[in-house]
Amino acid sequence: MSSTILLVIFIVVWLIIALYLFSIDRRVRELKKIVQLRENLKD
Amino acid sequence: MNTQREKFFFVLKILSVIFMAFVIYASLFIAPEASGFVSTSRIIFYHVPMAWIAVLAFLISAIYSILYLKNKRINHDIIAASSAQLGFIFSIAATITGSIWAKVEWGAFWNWDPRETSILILLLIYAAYFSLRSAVEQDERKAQLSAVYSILAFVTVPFLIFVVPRVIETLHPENPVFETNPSKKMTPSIRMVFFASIFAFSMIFIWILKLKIEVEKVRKKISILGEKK
Repeated sequence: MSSTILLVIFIVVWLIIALYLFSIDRRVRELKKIVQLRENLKD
Repeated sequence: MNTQREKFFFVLKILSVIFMAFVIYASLFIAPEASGFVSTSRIIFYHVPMAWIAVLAFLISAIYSILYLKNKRINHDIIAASSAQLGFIFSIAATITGSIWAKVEWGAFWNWDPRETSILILLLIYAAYFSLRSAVEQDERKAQLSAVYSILAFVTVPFLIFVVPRVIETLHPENPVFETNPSKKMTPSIRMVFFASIFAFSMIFIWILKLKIEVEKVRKKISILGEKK
């Protein structure tokens, strides 16, 4: 397999992983806000 | 303080994306093939950093386990468990990349080489750690038992990773960083890509570890809120 094809495959895989991590990051931040709001409501 | 921390992690995320993309490009186009090997030698830029990160993760797990036993702070247990999980995943990744290399160089994916056997034993030791965690229901007891186990498990890490492969004859190449033979030493371009890869993997590890810890903390808070209901 040529190096260019490998480069494209690896970069695409890495970008998918990075985007997935960014999306988890965003969801966790939203979840933290919701939990904080619920905690404030309980208090 | 919080915004500074957020800024730091934002920079870390962006840098890890850029650095990893650079490592992928450089491993294929900048670094030459190592002497004596076919192009599979390029796997060194992924396999070795993964193994190093696994050792680092197990070390962090052991340190936070000691801190938990000292302070009894549940956050320390969360960090220890999260780090051990990541160490386990990176060990599996290192084993898979090593097997791919072994298939090309040695002719089979698995050869029961001392290096392969010792990583398998290490994986089994940490698999037992997760079994222990899932077997105990009460949080405090679970944290205490797994902290003690994590410390004991880490004692085997230097032995299995660094001692066994050097005591018993192995087909596995010497770690190029510690290579003393000048003909087998890394060339400057290989060294540059290699350390860039270690740096990129370290940043990715910190990023994922932070995410994992935050997820576990939120999960804990939700379960506490559920109990209060």
